Amino acid sequence: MKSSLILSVEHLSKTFKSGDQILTVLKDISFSIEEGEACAIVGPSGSGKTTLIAICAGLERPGSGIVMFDGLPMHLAHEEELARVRNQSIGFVFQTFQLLPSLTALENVMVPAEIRGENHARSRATEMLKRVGLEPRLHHYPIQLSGGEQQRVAIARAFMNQPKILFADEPTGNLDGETAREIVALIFELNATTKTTLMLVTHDRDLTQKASRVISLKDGRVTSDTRVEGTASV
Amino acid sequence: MKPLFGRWVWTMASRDGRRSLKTLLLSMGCVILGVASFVSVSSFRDNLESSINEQSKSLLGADLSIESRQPFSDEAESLMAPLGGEPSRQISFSSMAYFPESDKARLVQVRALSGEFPYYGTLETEPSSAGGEFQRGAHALVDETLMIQLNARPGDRVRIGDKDFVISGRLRRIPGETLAFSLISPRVYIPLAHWDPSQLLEKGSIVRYRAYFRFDPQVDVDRLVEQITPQLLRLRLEADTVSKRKATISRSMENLSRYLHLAVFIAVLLAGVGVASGIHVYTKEKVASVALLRCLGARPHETVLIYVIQAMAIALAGSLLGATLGVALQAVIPFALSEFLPLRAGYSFSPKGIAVGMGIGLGTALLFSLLPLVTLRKVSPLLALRSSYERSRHVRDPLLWLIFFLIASAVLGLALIYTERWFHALWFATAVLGAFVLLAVVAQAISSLMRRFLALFLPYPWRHGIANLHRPNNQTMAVMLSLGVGTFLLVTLYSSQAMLLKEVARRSGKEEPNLVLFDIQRDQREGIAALVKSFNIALYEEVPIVTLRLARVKGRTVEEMRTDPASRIPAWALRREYRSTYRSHLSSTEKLIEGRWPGKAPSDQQAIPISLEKGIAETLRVNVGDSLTFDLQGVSLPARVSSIREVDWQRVRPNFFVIFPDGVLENAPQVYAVVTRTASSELSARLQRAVMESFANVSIIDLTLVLNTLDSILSKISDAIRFVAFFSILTGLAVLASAVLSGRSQRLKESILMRTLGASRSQIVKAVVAEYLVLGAISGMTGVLLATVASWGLTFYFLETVPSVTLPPILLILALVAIVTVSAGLLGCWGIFRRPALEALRAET
Repeated sequence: MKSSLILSVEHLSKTFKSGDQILTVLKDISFSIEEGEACAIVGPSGSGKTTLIAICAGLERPGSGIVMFDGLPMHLAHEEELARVRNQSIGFVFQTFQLLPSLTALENVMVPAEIRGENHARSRATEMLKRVGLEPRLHHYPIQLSGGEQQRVAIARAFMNQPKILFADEPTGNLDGETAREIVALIFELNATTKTTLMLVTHDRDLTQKASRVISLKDGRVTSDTRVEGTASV
Repeated sequence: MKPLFGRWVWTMASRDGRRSLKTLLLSMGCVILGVASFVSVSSFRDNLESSINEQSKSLLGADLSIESRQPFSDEAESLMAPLGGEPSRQISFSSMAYFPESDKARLVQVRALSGEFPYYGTLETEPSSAGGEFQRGAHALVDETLMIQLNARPGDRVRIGDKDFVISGRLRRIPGETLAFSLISPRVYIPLAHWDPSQLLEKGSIVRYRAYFRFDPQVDVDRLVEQITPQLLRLRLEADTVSKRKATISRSMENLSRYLHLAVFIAVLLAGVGVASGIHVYTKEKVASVALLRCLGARPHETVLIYVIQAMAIALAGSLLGATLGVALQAVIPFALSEFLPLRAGYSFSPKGIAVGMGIGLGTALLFSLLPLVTLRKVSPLLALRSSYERSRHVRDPLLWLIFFLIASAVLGLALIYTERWFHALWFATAVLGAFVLLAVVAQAISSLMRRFLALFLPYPWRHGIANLHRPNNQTMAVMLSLGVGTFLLVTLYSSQAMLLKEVARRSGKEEPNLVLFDIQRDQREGIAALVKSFNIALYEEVPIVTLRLARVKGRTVEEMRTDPASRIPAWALRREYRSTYRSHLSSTEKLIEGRWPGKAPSDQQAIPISLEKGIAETLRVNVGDSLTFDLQGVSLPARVSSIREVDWQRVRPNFFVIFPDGVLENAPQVYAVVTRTASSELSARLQRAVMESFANVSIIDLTLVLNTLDSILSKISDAIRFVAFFSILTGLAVLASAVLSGRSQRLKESILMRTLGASRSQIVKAVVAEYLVLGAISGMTGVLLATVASWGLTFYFLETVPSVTLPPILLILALVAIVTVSAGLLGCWGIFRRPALEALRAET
């Protein structure tokens, strides 16, 4: 079966100004991701991984180059358009979970659907939390949940709007080994069942091994781009 | 078209607010106080208005009063006779009253009354029956304030002229008159039937003759007055009706309420600062949530709206509670201002006052909360990924400047509504905003100075505490504004009062006269001079006084001008008696500013050259060279303004609007005033007693008493102002508490970290003390600086001098401010040390 492109990046560069100095974080990066791929971005700290997915997800503007997401030129899109895309087509999982502390687990999961204007957010959010094994914790606040549970809530929230792509930034970085394995399994299970494309930044060897493609970055450049046969690509 | 914001914004605002809004409770406290102060004043104003309407007839005590400066002529009597009924008559004049029991004499306003006046309302007395019964014999009603001063009681005697009256009661309230008036001129009512006016009412004394009428309810009094106006003008009679009195009182009460509104407006602005400070900290806490919401697809303005809705919910709740408190508090205002109200203000529910107060509360909260909230729209979603992401600074955010502009416009607009004068509104708005801006600039300067020049030689806890003044999320600005404005109000209040009293005392210094004897008849001059000399007292000055009336101004008759609606000369200036003098020279209290003073009238038949005081010349709209005609008991005196003088009215000398040159009025009917100085109050009392015994008609103004009276009046005014300032000071304290508590969580984290790193409890306490001591001292000093400028401005404006400042009380206020600030800072850390570091660390993560 032939897959179509969901994300393509061409000659992407990004610089930051730090005091009087100009830091080049990304240098002439080009790659494309097909629908259903599970792509891991790896590299040492400061290699530009987070900046790369921030630009791909429309959280940051590129310095130069082209970023096309699902046919939309992200580098040209207006902030309102980017907000709509983030809400309807993109899911995020963060290293530090990023749950809204004043909302319960259920309410946190409902937020993306509510922003979209959906009427049945509550029942679907409950269903999502059940799928991640948190049915007994629906009405708990983030502070009352363990790290692993918080990340499960974050994953449920990320999948709530059935995104076309899920960006995960070190999703296991704040978790112990056992919990990290559970979370990895959960992400890939949901990825498989929802046929979502996955793009994750990680140092986690387990996670990298499950990816169908690994892009390595160093000093803002792609140093390797490897496709792995027989892995999690859907 | 996509709606401006989704329904989810409301849901999110409500869900998020459930757990986090409690941190804004103190900001709500500020709104409560601000709205309460405004609602109480607005409701009080409305109540006053309805009370004036309800009690309108008792404000005059009759349907009509007709007043004359001379005994009613036959023609006047025949004008009044057909008006109906037997009217009440009153003759009022200033006279010395002697109280034999206390052996003290005072200048009082005597009112000899006949008939049943007041027809509406009552003379409130103690015992209550005295008001109705004092006319049955030789009895008197004496102002309660005076009786308290002299320790007099009902049953004691009061001597007016050589007639003794038994005091039958204390006079508590006269319809339509303020109690403060009794301090300036204590009133004594005596029955007209038991008094022979001939001995006291010498020619030249200021006497008012009044007739009070009561009509059937169907009589249209205003129309009646309109019909007889030409005769009234011709006979120089002044009519006062219920509607006229109502209008006068309404005007003065409107002025009072304007002042009150402006005063509480400072409390409202402070509440705004409290809201801005609370929301600022709240906003900082919400940045991560906003970044996440942006990641999840929320639009920038939607994220701002979530928190605007929350701020408005808090403001609405605060406004509702504030309005409730304000409605309750309005009952207190009439007590605080009772001395200055000419009627008993009722208590009623004023929907308009509540609506205006709540509207102002909500508007203020919205504008001030937007200041920190609009910055949220610039929060990058990238912050969710990278917490260290450095946001760009948005100092030049045009929206922020728009909000500042709206706040300034709102202040000016409200000032304009309440002052109704552009100049006053601009002055008020500039002063208030200037004070706020100065305090903000000082706060900013402290932050940056601390950052650059923090004294490294200080011990560590002091360095750490003082460094907190410029660290991120510092509360320097909010504390500076709340404390600075509070100190400013307190010190201005104190300084203005002290400067005023000091200046008056200075003007009655060693060489200045302190006793003025007036209404001395021509044949009493020698006797008085001899009496004064027998006490070994130097006679400073003897001044003749001739009473004149204006007949024409620049050729137009006074009657013509009074009936001309286009005439811009006020009626009082046209109808008043001009008590004038004549002399060849100017006195030490006068300065020629225009024209020249010939000193002696020309021998030919030209118009008499006269000198006018600057203020009255402006009122009468005349300049040097213009003609004025005076009426001296039927004799016409054509005069020409030859000079304009500036007069120092504060000096204890007989000062005059109009002076004539020598050679014109020498043979006119005249009285004399004598200016002297007694070395002690005891000598003054002896002289006064002796004058009273031999010259009953002569009145005496004792400057020592005037000073005491001024002191009492200023104290009463200060009490009233303090009551209003109290709202602002309380709001300032709420802002302080809000600022301290909103920084508590950060302080908690910091102190835990310091303890983890080995800091002792005393080091942490010292750091807190250092931070708040510096903050309190600097904001207090800035407030004092502002207050000094303000009180100097006030005294310079009113007294045209620049008096010195009394330091000790100001230092005391400064110390008080510093203590309050440090206490608030320490209270904000309450309980921090009782929590084990580990438990606290867990709770905070």
